[in-house]
This record gives sequence, C-alpha cells and structure tokens, in this order.
Amino acid sequence: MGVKIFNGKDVQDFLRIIANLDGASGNERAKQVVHRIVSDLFKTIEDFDLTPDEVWLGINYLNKLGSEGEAALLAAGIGLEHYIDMRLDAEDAELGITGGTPRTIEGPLYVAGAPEQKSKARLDKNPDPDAGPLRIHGRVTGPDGAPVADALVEVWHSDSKGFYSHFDPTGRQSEFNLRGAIRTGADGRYEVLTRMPASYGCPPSGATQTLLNQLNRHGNRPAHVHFFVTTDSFRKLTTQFNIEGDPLIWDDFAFATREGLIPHVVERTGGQAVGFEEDGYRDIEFNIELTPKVAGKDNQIVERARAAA
Amino acid sequence: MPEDSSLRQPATRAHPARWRDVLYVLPQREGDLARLDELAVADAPVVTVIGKYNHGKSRLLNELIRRDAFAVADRRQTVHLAECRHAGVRWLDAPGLDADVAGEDDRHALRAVWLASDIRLFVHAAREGELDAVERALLEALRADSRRTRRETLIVVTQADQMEDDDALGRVMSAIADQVPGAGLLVVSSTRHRRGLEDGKTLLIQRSGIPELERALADALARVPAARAHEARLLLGEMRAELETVRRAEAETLSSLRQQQAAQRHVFDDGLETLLAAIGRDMEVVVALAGPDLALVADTGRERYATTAAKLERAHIQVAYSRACIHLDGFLAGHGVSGLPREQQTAAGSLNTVMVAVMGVSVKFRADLHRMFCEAPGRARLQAAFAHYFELSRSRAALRDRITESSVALDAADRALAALPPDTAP
Repeated sequence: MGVKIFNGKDVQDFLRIIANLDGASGNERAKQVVHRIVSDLFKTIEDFDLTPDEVWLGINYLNKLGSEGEAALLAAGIGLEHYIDMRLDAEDAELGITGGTPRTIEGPLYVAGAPEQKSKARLDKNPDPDAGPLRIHGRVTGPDGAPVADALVEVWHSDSKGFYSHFDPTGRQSEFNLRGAIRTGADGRYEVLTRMPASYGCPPSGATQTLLNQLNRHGNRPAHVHFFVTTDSFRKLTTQFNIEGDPLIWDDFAFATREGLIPHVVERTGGQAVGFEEDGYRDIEFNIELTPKVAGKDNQIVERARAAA
Repeated sequence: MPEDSSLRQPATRAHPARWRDVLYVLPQREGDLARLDELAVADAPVVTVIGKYNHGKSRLLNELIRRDAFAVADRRQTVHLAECRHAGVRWLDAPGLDADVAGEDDRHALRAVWLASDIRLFVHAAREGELDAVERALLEALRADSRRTRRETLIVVTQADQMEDDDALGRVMSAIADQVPGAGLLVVSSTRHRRGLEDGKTLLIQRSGIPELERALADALARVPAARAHEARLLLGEMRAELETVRRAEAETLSSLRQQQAAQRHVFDDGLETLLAAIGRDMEVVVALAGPDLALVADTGRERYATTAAKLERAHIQVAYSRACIHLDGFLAGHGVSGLPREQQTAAGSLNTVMVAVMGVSVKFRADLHRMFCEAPGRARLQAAFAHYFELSRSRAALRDRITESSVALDAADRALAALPPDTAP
C-alpha cells in the first residue's frame, strides 16, 4: 500500500499555499473552490495510490479533451450537467414551485438567430430520405393553464445521421436546417413540420468516448428535440423531449431523460393536409407549461457561450 | 546620315508572337531568337565596325566605302547605329563602346555587334597602346562567339600613322598580339589611304594597310553564306536540344510524381483494407450473440440508475465500436488524414474530424455494426469514404499541385518544340 501523507501538517499547509487561502487579496470564492478541488484530487491520488504515470496520463487527457473541444461533452457524460438540473429541481421544491414542464439540459449545439415565424414553421430545408416526416405541436400555457401569447418557442434537433445544421462536418445541411423560432398567437399554439431526429452519441474515437471506454459505458443519447421557451412574464424553459420507443430513452449518457418529457408518438395519415409531401407521418403533441418568476426574477437563466449565425 | 529606324528598338527584342512558346521555356534565349529573326530576313552581308569612340571607326568605314558617308569628329559622334550600303554589303558604324554601358548608345552597339552583324571589325587606335579591360572582355566574347557561330571578328589597329616610328608601332602590335594570342592583327592608316587616293600614290595606298584589310574582308565575306547557314542550324539545334532536355526532365519528373501518387494510394488502400478486414473479424465476435438484440429493448424509468442487461449490451457494442474507430483513426493519422478540409469545418471542434464525417455520430446497433464492418459492401463504402478524404489531405493536394505544375511545364516544352522551325528552315 502507498504512503499516507495527506492528513499531515505539511500537505495541509501546502494545500493552503497552493490556493493562497490565507493570502490577503484575490477572489475568496475561487480560492476556496480551488482549495477543495485540489485537496480532493490529492486525496484521490493518495487513496488510490496513483502512480506518476497515471497522473500524467490524466493531465495529458485534459489536453486531448481541450484540443478536441469535447469538455462540454464530458460534462454531460460525467453527469455534471444533469447534477446542476437536480439542484435546480431541489431549489424549486424548497421554494414550493411545482408543476410546469420539466427542465432538462441545453446541450452544446444551440444556435441563436433562427428566423422567427408566426405560429407555424417548416424546419427541414434539406432532403433526408432516412428521416420520415414529423409534426410537433402544442400549446404554451402559464401555471393557471391559460394560453401564453407571444411566447418564443425555439426548436432544434439532429438529422438522421445525428448531425445538427451549423455543426455538420459532412457539409450537407444548409443554415438553420431543422432549427426554428415560432412565436405563439393568442391561442398559445405552436406547430412545426420537420423530419425525425436520430439517436446519436459522442465522436466514437474522441476524448469523451475514450474515457467512457475505460468505464465500459457508451456515449449515446436517445433521439430528442431541444426547446427554449421564452416569454416576458415567466421563467425561460430549457428542455428536450425524447422520441418515444427509442431504446436509449432510459440509458442516456447525458442523463437528460425525465418523466414528462416522453410524449406519445402517433402514426397518422393525411400528411398533405397538414403540409407534408407524404401521406403518412408521425405526430407528437408536446404541451408546455411555464413556471412563474421568483420574486419577479428568472432565477434559472444560464449564461454560457453559445453559437450564433 | 542614313539610319535604319527599325534598329532603334531595344537591343534584343525577339518577335513576341512567333517565339512566345519558346521564350516561355527558354527566356535566356531571347537574344538567339532575335538573331534567328535577323538571319531570316538578312540579305546582304553585314559588316559592323566596333570599338571605343575616337579610335577612327567612322573614318575607316569611309575609306572602305570610298566616300564620306559616316560622320567623323573628335567628340563622341556616333550615337546611333549608322548604316550605309556599298558593294553589296551593309556597313554599320556602332556607337563607341564606352563607360556608360547601360545607356541607349550601348544598346545600339550591342544590337549591331550581336544581332545584325556577320563580320565585326574590332577597331583599336595604335596610339592607345595595349587593349584595355573593356576591349579585352568584348574581344574575348566576340572570339568565343566566332568559334561557336563562325561569325568572324577582324582586329584592326588604326591610326598607324600617328605612331612615332615603326619600332613604336611594332611594340604596340606585339603587346596586343600577346593580349589576344592566335588572333591575326591588321594595321591600317585611313589618313595614308586617303592621301594615297587623292594624290594617286600607289605605294602610300599599299602602306595604308587598307588593301590587305580589304582582301581579308573579301575572304570573310565569301564565307558569310556558309557561316549564316551554320549559325541558324547551330542556334536551332542548341535550342532544340535544350528544349528536349527540359522536356525529358519534365517528363521524368511527371512520371515519377505519378508513380509516387499511385504508390501512396496503393499503400493507403492496402493498409486500410487489411485493417478493415481485421476489424471485421473482431466485430463478428462482438455482434454474433445468440438470441434477440437486447440493446434494442428500452429500459424503464425505474431503471434509470440501474444496471440492466440491455444497458450492458449497449455499452458492450459501443465500446467495441469505439475501439475499432480508434484503430481506424490511428491508421488515418499515420497517413495525414485527421482533420477535415477547411470548407467542411464546423463551429464544433469535436466534429471536425474525418472519422466523424465518415462514421457519423448516429447510434450504431448490432445490425449496423454487422453491415458496416462484417459485410463486404459496408467495408467497401468505408474504404471509399476514407479514400475520398485521403485525397483531400494536405500532402495529397500538394502532390496533385506538383503534378499539375509538371504537366503544364511538359505541355509548354511540347509547344515550344512545335514552335521551333525544323533545322533546315530557320
């Protein structure tokens, strides 16, 4: 077994110096967080008797992760993003906020600037023969069930290869393909015509899946459709629903699946009447109930770097 | 003073359209091409008198053509190329070769010496003694040209009458003879010749050296047609040989680049095929499980944090698939095929790889993996898709560019050879 020095005065003093915990200036919160994270890391090294080779393997892995731009993917994969959601839920419970459409993670592939349309939008701009027609529609309401007018419903999802427009390395999708921004009317209704998304996962030879291989875990997600719902009066909703029947629904590497976010998929005919070229299509009704602001403020707004086009 | 205005053009401007293709490959042959143009239109033989100013060039010419056609003065007089016809010969008086070597005068002089002349009379005044460095350099070039083109250069020491006595003249002649060993020197006095003619003194005419010069000139003039034919053949032959050398070298380069291109592709194709076959064999074991594909059976919400047989199966095939991709990625990186071409890159760095573009990120189940890796058409599709990106890789694109350049150069050499007339018809 390895040596035990972590609890000794020397290491503890060293940790305080690393974070400059006793120094006068600097950001107190940053000092405390760094002190904790480095302490936990040191303790991990001691408890598992990590060899220098193993430590350097980890450090070099961080470089690989960064150079491949996969830090946000790993954050989803190690549950960080979902853990934040769990905390927000618990906060709501403490505040007594119940009901409303469940929130779930945003993911890294939102693009601001989709052209806004009134009540209804067609999202597919490029042919995708492997993806059948899909109609999504529903009503945006407040906690009282009353329709919310002028809500902006932003929708984005992948194509049949698992690629999003603006992030498609095959170059097959045009701008804002499978992305839309729909403004509700007085009835609070929105409707989009699009194609079925696919389940997809981490780049198979990328840094995230490479780590997951060590855990014997896959990096895949069930097919899903992302939503932002923004109004003046309620909290902004960030959510996704999954496509019912996807085998990965409760085996999502990002842990974003929630009860209440798996609406029924209904096979329908008469597609031409709703605006499709085909007769048969699938139909999903996804109603959205917004939650009130807390003391006049949206306590859930997340600031993070997002792409814009 | 008669003057050929066409000679006012820059010294060595070859006919642009006729020789464009040749000049493109052999720009250094501009002067030779201009000379070929001269030879094509030349009729009468051309005798050019050259030398430093005030060495008696114009005066000598006047004696040779028996009239005062060329201006004679103490200061630098002959600033343009002056021309006169006499006895079936074009006589050219080149501007004096002096210090301002880059000036217009010297370009005229060069044109006279290098392009227009069949015979050069290199004039040096006896009173100046030895040849100076400029004269020696020019003479060296002229004599080298004579050996090559058979255009003759006669060295004429003028103003012999200005020497104190025959001894003094003898010393100068001997000094010059040492400077240009093997060259025949002619000594003349234009003054004596003129006086001899005016006074009807045959002896003076004899002693002027002009008759001897005229005999030497007549012999040289008789050799001009043969010399011209030789020179045209020589220039065309040299250029043809040079172009053929260029063409041969370019053809060899092109062929070697194409071999390299084919060999690289062969190595890539072979290596990838072998690797895909190995992955296919490993994948057979992964996907060849008996019974239904558990991965396709959805779990329930109650099992969200539980381990199920379906989850294990999904992890099992995904990890196997990931390992196959990591192998492929390593092979591709070894062939310079990692990042996407710039025009395909997206804002998400993690997706800008050939692996992602080819494999996609959609979830692969057992049947997908079997189709992709265990069946020949699936492997062939991957083979073709990776080969597509191999050809887009930086080193392959650079090789393609070099092949294009080489092929353009080969075409240029072919066009230049076609533009060159046959040896017999300059």
